[in-house]
Order: sequence, then C-alpha cells, then structure tokens
Amino acid sequence: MRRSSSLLLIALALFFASPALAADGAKGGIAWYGTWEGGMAEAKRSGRPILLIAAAPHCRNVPGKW
Amino acid sequence: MIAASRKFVCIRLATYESKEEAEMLTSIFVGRSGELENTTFVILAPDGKKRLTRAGRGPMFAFRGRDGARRMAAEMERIAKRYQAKRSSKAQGLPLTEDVRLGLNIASCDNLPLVIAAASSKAERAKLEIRLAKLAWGDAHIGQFTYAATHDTKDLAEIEGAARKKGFLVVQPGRFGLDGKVLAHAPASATDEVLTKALTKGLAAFRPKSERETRAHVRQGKRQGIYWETEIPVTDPGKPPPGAGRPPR
Repeated sequence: MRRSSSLLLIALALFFASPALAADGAKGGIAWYGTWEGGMAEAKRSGRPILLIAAAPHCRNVPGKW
Repeated sequence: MIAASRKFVCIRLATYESKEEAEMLTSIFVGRSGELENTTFVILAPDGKKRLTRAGRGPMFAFRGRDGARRMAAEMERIAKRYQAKRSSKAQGLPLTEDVRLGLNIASCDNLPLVIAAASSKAERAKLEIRLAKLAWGDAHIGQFTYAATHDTKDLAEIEGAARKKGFLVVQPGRFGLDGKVLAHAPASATDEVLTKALTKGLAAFRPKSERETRAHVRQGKRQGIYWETEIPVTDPGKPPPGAGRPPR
C-alpha cells in the first residue's frame, strides 16, 4: 500500500499497543480469528459481540508488515 | 483493552485475501473512493450484522484522541454487559488464519510464532485443531501465537525442518513471512502436557524481529524482489482520510 496507508496502519498498531493494553492487568495478547467463517461460528456459539478489524498483511506488496 | 477483548469474539481479516470477505467488508465500510480500503473497523452484535459502533478505517476514527484506547475499552465493557454469554456444549474454536501461507505472513506481521496443526487428513486435522484450541485459550498461551492448519504437506514446503513432520509445529516466521523454521514439535499423539511443553519451548526459542520501521522493511523487500500476490486486486486509493497524515508527495 502507499505511504498514507502505512501511516494509518502504524496508527492502528499504536492504538492497540497503547498503555491501556497493559494497564488492564490482562495476560497475553488479543487472540484473533483470522477468518469471518471461524469468527462467526464462535460468535454464534458464545453469543459474544464481535470486534472486527481488517488490514492488509503487506505494505506496497512487501509482506511481513501490516 | 486486552481484558475487554476477552468478552468479544475478535476477528481480524486479511484484506484482499478473500472475495467473500471483501464483499462483507465493503457492506460495512467503504471510503470516499467507494472501494474496499486497506483497513476496516467496527464492533458488531453476535449476529454479525447489527453495528454497535461507527464503522471506519480504524478504531482511532471512532474513538479519537489521546485516550481513545481507554475510551474504546470502556465502551467495549459497556457493550459486553448487554450480551449474556451463551452456555454451549461445543468448545471454543481455534483462532485460525486461512491457511499456512497467510499464517506465516500474519505471524511475521504480528511478530509472533506460528503454530501449525499438520495432519494427514481432513478428519485428523479437525481433531488436532480441537486439541490445540484447548491450550490456545488457556492463560499460559492466549494471544501469544498465530495459528494455521493443513492436511497437505505441500503447504509446509517453505518451512525448514517441517518435512514429513505431522502433529504440532511451532514455527519462527521469516522476516517477510514467506518462509519459516521449526522451533519445536509435538507429535499428533502428544499428551496435553507434552504439547504444552512444545508450545513453551517454541515461545522461548522464538526471536522477534528487531526492525520496526516500515519504510526500511519495504525498501529491503523491494531490493530483494519480495512480492506478495493478493487473492483479489488491491483497491485502496492510498489517500489519507482527514487527520490521518500528510498526502503522499
């Protein structure tokens, strides 16, 4: 993606890496379902609401960076 | 935020990697271009349809400002209270990525080890996923791995030390997420104790990437001829939404 998208992704990463993450005392990280099918099956099973995010796992078609 | 996330089903889709998911995402949010953009964010009811927050390119647009993460966590707690978790006889599913190729890339993006359930058949794969899910949601390992599963040995071709291995593989993803190396292994027949030890060993052996700067990563990737082929065309216009940064020069 282009530079502006990179900036947005950095902001996204910083948002989820903010001190509020560590401040709540929870262990580990956020466990993400990587597919809509898998996540929806879990939402149906558990009745929990859904936190949905999508991002491209490449930057200007170079993988290994959101 | 992490504590609040435990009361939600957290789904993070890889944009441009599935036509069906792209259609679903564009039904939730498109920017001014009218096309699917690189990132999307929303909180939904358990039916996957009803929106509980404003949709946008990221949570920072729904929860602006320096304390945005804190306000988002508070809002998530408030939303979670409205939904009573159901009792279910079925166990919580493994938080899988679509396949090993995408799993390697996402693990590299997240700077986490990848755990692969490598089976000989579809039926065995399902059994391995259930075994792994039990541990994936445990306090010791929650959110510390990316997961993928396969019953096709060809999927493991780019992973050093994976040839002919079945069971559970803990993998160090390469810098660009196109290859990897086995850090620990437990056979399909491993007890929960043995599997836990393999996960712990893999986690201890994992070396996170030190380079954090996106531009250097991209420059290096371009120099090496690295190229990620997306499943569907990228349609992000690359123009920043208001307040998201300067336009490209």
